[in-house]
Amino acid sequence: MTCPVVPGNKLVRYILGLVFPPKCIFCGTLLHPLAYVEICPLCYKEIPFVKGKTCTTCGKPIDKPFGPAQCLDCRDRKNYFAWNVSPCEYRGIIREAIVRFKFFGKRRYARTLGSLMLYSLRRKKLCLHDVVVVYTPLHKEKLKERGFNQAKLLAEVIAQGLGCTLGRDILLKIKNTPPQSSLSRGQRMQNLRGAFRLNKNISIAGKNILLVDDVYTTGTTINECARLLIKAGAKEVYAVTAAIGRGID
Amino acid sequence: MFKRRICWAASCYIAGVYLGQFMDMAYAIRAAFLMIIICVVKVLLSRKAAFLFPCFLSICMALGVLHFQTVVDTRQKPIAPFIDQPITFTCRIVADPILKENRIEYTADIYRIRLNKVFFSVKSKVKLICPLHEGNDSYGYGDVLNISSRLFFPSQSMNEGGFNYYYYLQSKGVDAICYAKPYQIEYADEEVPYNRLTEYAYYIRKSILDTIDSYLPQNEAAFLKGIMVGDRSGFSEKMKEDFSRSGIYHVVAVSGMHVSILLAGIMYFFGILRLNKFIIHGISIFFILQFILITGSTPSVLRAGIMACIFLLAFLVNREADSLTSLGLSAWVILLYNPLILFDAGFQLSYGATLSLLFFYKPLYTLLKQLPKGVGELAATSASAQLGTVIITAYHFNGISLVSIAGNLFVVPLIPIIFIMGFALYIMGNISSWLGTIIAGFEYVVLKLILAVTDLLGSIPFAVVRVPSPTPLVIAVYLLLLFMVYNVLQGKKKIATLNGFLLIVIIIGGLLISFFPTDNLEITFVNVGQGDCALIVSPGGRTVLIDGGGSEGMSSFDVGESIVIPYLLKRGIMHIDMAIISHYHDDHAEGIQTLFENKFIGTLLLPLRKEKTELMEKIIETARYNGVSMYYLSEGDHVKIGDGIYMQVLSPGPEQLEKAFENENNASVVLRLNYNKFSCLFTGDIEKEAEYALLQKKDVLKADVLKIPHHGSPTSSTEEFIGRVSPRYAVISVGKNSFGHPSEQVLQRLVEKGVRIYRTDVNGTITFITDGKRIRKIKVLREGE
Repeated sequence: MTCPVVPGNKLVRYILGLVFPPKCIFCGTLLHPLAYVEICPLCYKEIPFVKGKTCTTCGKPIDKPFGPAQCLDCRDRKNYFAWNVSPCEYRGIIREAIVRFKFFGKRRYARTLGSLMLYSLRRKKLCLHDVVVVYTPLHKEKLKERGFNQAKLLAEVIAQGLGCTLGRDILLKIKNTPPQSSLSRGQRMQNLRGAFRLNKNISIAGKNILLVDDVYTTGTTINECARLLIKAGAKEVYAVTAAIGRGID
Repeated sequence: MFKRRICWAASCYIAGVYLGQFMDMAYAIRAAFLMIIICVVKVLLSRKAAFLFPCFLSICMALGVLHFQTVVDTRQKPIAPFIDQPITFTCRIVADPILKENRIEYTADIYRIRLNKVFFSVKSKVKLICPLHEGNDSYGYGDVLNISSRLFFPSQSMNEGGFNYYYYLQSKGVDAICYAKPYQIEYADEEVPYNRLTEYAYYIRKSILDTIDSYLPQNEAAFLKGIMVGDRSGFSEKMKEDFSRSGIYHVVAVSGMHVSILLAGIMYFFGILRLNKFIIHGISIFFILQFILITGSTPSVLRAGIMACIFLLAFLVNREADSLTSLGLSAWVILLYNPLILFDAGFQLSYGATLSLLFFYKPLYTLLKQLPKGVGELAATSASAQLGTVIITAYHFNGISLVSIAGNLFVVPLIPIIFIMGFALYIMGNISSWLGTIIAGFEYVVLKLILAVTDLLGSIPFAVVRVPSPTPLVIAVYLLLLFMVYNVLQGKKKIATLNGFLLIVIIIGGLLISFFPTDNLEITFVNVGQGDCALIVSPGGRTVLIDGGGSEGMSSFDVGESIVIPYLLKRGIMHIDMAIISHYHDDHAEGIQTLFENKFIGTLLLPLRKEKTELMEKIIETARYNGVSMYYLSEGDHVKIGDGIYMQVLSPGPEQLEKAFENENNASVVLRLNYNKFSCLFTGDIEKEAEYALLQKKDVLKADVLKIPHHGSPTSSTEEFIGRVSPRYAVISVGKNSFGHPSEQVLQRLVEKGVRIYRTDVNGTITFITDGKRIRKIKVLREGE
């Protein structure tokens, strides 16, 4: 896997790598001091990469080889985003790593997961040099509790890798909703109603937006954010997430 | 390979510092240059950086050697030209005075030295030792003094493996010592520059100590001061004894536990304030650096503090710290600051404990899963720390505590409570006295409880097993054993089996060597200062001790406890089959009494006397009380040591015994040790008269080695006596004294006869190894000039 452009002076990174040796985010094996994508060769084989037929909109793997080109969720609703890509499926070691990343303060995982996302974007061979990178917001309370917004950390890595601008605080979360993952398919849409708001101070009219989030399950969050962005005049909204659930049909 | 590069580099640096003791400076420089050249050539040839790192490691090692040697080298010290010169120096006291039984010790920074009316600006640290007299001025922190006295370098170790005062003081940054009489000291009427940071840390420390003192009674205050800032000055001997016997001494040496409690406290407090996490981490680093300064930067707090800072920094640079790497880096930093800290017992214990915690905590915890969670954690913690420290305590303190796990299980959970209440006491106690009193009341209960428990644990007989210092072989076997246990616990069967096989080979090899009959007789003249002490180890392993040193007059220094026993334990000797006292004088007979009390001695051979003197009575009393069997020696006795090894008693004859009351020295036991063709003459303190008496007799006096009588006094070692003995080697057992021993005349006489002279004050321990035919080897601690 090719490495994205790594920020920082090489000597500084080497010294930092000596003092804080990079470790595989999945198994903790020590890696070379200059390693930026922290995955050991053994764990790389274990990563559940998205393969085979995928939904044309959300990029979810679809089991049926001869069915419709879109997944059930994408067919059922109006999609405000053009497409979504995810490098991995949300299971196995990726799932464990993302849980540690979000809930156990492992901020450093953003570099590795972000690199995986950049990799999948690059594989799509899309020209993405003039997008604004936007991340899904976290409510103030939750931000205090967790200390960081995982989507923002990923967005920083991606914006840096693509050489695009990072749109800080374009979206705001104004309702502290229970986490989507705790809800059923039907409740999710209800849960997010009126939860987000657009920051009026920043204009995004006529721009292409790349929306970043950590996990894509049904796409409700991404779609809701995309709806707001389109409403604010964005030309097109694309999405990239670190992991994606499997389609149920 | 070389995954944790910093650990490798630090280990090589440590190895270099250790090897520095045995290696020559020039050799190390050459080796370093060679390594640099190899490194450059390899890189040029292969155009790969692959060889770079191993070469870098060798350079690290060479640098370690160099660093050690430069620090140890007395010639490179800035004060070297002023040593033992009549000087006047200006200094500032930088630590609280330490009160010893008969003296006060100050640590002071030197700024200026006046020699021959010329002023030199010199920066150095010295230890001032002043006699303690009623009505003397005592000086305090920050006093600037002018002192007219002489400076000396501290003494190097007296015996092999013995305590090295020079290294010890150097590891604290002290270059020299100065004995100053009250009239030599006067206040200097000037301000000198000083370090504001240490000044500030000193005053915080002082105010913490003062607050504790004002709220708690003596013993509890001393204990709390130990826990809070590692100050053990108020400890009574009994407390020290109890703490080390029950294996919880580490709680009063500020260490990782204290730093982690502090860190948790800070994090919690600022967490409540809902500050940004980056700011909290930054603040924590600041507080930890302060804490290091306040607690006096002992090796253990330095280790814990540096590691904590690395962990906090990791958060700030969005990376993850690795425990082993941080540990290695902290060791490297400390040793770069002062390589002699490596030999500090506190440093070794701190790193030993942390290393074994890192390796053994998890596997032990899973083993103890059945226990309740808290108990399991504590037991696993203290057991795994014990695994690493047991060999170090055995080496330095010759004891293994059997109750330490029990002690730790009880005491450790209470430490955070005490620590946090202590902080509360410090803050509240300075705000309002009644709040302080309430907190002090709770604190008192907990402290009292712990003291009661340690008292109980310490009073258990056999709580501590006395062990000889492990030899390098034993240490190696132990480390291999630990490595094997680790691999077994980790389920790495292949490595474990290999390891076990290697262990068995080493153990069998070691046993074979130790049981293989050698025919070497060892005679060691132990350096006990002014006094006599000789140890004979026969080929069969029987041990004979002739005299045990002692300090003249009323000095409280116990030679037996502080020199002879440590030396024996360092040699791995736990039992003396036969102890001989040459005559009843303190410098020969005092130290040996401590050995009775410590159950070292099987049989005691005493010189016969017509009338008992006071000292003789006392010795017989102690020996009898400790169940030592006694025999009296006089002319004509034979003492058999082993096959073909025996001692003839040549004196005291009836004539000397008659006059023993007049001159005790002349009634000394004179022994001639025979081992086939080899012989050695031990002469005690005999003087002219006894020498003449010996010359009158027909006994063969000829000996290969002669212990010069009476520490080389001019009243002994007559021309005729030396002529009759005609030794090849002469040993003078002598230390600092006011009698002018050894006398120039005697030395001159020996030189004229072509006798090679060894002196314990110059050469340290002197060991002759013989197979009965010739002297195989003469080992000395230091080559004389």
